[in-house]
Amino acid sequence: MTRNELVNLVRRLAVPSGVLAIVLVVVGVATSMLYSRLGAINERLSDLERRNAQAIRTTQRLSDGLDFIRAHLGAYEDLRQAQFTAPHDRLAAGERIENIASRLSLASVRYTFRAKTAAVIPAKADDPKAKLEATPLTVKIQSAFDRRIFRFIDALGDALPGYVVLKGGSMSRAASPGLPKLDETATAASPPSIVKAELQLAWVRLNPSLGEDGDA
Amino acid sequence: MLNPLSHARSWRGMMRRTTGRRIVGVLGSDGAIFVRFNKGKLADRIFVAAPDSEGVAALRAFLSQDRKARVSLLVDVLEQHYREAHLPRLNPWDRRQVLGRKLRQTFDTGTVSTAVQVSRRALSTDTEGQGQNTLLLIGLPVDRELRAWSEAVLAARNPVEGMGLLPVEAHRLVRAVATTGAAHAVWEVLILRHRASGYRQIVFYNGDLVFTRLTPNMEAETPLEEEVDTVESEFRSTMSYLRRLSFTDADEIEVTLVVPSDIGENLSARRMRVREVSTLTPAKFAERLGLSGERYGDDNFCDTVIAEWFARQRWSQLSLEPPTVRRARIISFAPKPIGAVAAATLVAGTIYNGTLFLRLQDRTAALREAAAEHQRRQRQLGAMRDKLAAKNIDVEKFALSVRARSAMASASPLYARSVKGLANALPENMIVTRLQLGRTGTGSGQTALVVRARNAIGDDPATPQENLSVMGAAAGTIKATVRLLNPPADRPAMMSQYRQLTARLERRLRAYQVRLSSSPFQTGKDAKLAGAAGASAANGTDQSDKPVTGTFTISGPHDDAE
Repeated sequence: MTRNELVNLVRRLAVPSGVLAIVLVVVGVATSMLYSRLGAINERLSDLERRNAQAIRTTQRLSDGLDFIRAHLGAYEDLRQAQFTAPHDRLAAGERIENIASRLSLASVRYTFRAKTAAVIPAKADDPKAKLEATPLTVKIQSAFDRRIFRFIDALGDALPGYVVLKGGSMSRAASPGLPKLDETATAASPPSIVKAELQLAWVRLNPSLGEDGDA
Repeated sequence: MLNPLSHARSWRGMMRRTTGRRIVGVLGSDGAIFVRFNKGKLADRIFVAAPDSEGVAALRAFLSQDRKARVSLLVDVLEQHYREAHLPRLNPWDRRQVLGRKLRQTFDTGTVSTAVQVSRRALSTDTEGQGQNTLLLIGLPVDRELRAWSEAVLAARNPVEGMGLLPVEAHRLVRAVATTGAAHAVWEVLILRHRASGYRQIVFYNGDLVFTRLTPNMEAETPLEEEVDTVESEFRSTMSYLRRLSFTDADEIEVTLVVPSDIGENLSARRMRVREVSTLTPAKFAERLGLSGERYGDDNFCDTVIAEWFARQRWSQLSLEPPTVRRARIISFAPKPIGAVAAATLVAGTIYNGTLFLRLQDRTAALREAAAEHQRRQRQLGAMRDKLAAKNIDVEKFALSVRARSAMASASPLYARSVKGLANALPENMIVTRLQLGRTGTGSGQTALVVRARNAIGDDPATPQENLSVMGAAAGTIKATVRLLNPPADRPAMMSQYRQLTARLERRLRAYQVRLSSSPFQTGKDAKLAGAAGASAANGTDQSDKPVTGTFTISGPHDDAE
């Protein structure tokens, strides 16, 4: 190619190349601006959608909570009145048991509180919420009347805070050496002979704190 | 005469267009005519006798009238060579090598040459050329004059479209003027009168170029008869040559001359040794070519007609150009692809950005909707929180307490209910002599209760749970032995007491199953039932005189039906 031809080529290519460059720049800038704006809007939209989904879930959760509260408010009130989360005071509890025994004129009541056992809630304790505690209680009763033993069971449930679960037990009639035999005195009018009962109970509460708190 | 690629070019070349801004130069041995077109009309023309300094200056001035007009050159010089040749059928690489060698052997150095394949057998040789291709070798010597014309055109800044040969381009011309259709034509002769070159005779056989010859122009003062004689004489020479190329009197031949009317009227077919001759004036010729004949009414030569016709062709049939012209053509067309790319980029970019913009609008609308929904959700959430706050209850703590209580109840039977029910159902004359409920013993069972209850709660204890039964209880069984004090004399009456107690228990403990699992008397048909009567014993009693007892089994609750 001669010098003139080269100059001619450059002269001919100058304008179209310039136009092409301008077109590329303009199109490129416009495209990148649109992309950038689209990206920003997409990001904001994703964020809003995420937050909306979160709000929906939270609202649903709160709504479920409200429905749950409405459905079980009575039961919750019962739990509060029963002092389901109150700490166990074994001394006070023992005193109440004795008061009940005296009130019902039971011949003999022997009670034993053992070491409590607990289970952390939930079972997979990554985020423990509370503890379910049970204090084992064994009560041995002697009474002239079986009905007094039944009343004792009733009264015990009301007297102790939390819940008393009757897990097991047995009751039988036995004549002690000093008392008349069953057959001789068993009439509808006169009281029957001594009744013995042994009850295994669990005194249960929900401990909302995960540490030990002042059980006596 | 055309190879497949040339067929395509020929077809596309026949697609007419407007002239646009073009300059066509017809280069001959007696000078050159340059014609400038603008907007489909003939704008100007110039005859340059020779490419000397004066001629070149005039040419440059002419070309500078429109520097954007593209220049095409149509060569009609005396020195152009056409030779028939055979080439064996070869692969493209070998064919190219062999053809190149043949062209170098046929033409002198300094000749630009090419070859086109023709569809007929060679007329200039006796051999049939079986299994071989017939080619027409074309050579154009680039002499000083042609070089001068080229340089003068290239020196101007006009874009160059290329160079072609008039006899080769005339293949399309003859179809416009011949009366015989292409399918039936045999021999066709077209004779054109050019100012720049002279009388150009172009002979076609079956549509293919056979040969061409040029008779230079006569002097301007030459009498008409002499000119007519010269034309006829030259044509007779042509006919003699054609007879050597297998033309016979039985063959059809159509002869068309484009000459002024005075020459045309005086031509004699007989003297020209043909049956018929048709003549056209340049104006009529223009009309046959689809051009306006009016502007050529006074023309005695057809250079300008040919130039306008060529200007309207999209492509030349065959480009045969010196290297400088070829480079100039390439340089002239170099901006086109760039322009096309720029246009395509602009269009594609606009379309793409348009779709982006539409998407942007769509997303913006979606964003507005999402923002509105977010506000609505926040208001909803706020209202929900207000409701909860009004109750002054911690939902998590509430759910935990209730679920723990429920789990505990489901993990352990509540014997107290059944015991209480039994206690309330007993009449005064019946006592419990033995009662057994649940498991006996201490210690190990306590751990199991809280663990069972904890496991029943699950992994998310603070979450409200549907269909929760808080005060339900697991099923359990108690067994109570009840003694009838002061039983009546007869056994049916005793049984009746126990049945009445059963009925009372069932009424009080509706969710429980109550069963007299061991009755005081075995009344079943497989059991033993003893009795006594007589003076020494009361009727109905057995002799052992045992206490009257029955054992009740109370199990439940079932389906939490409290």
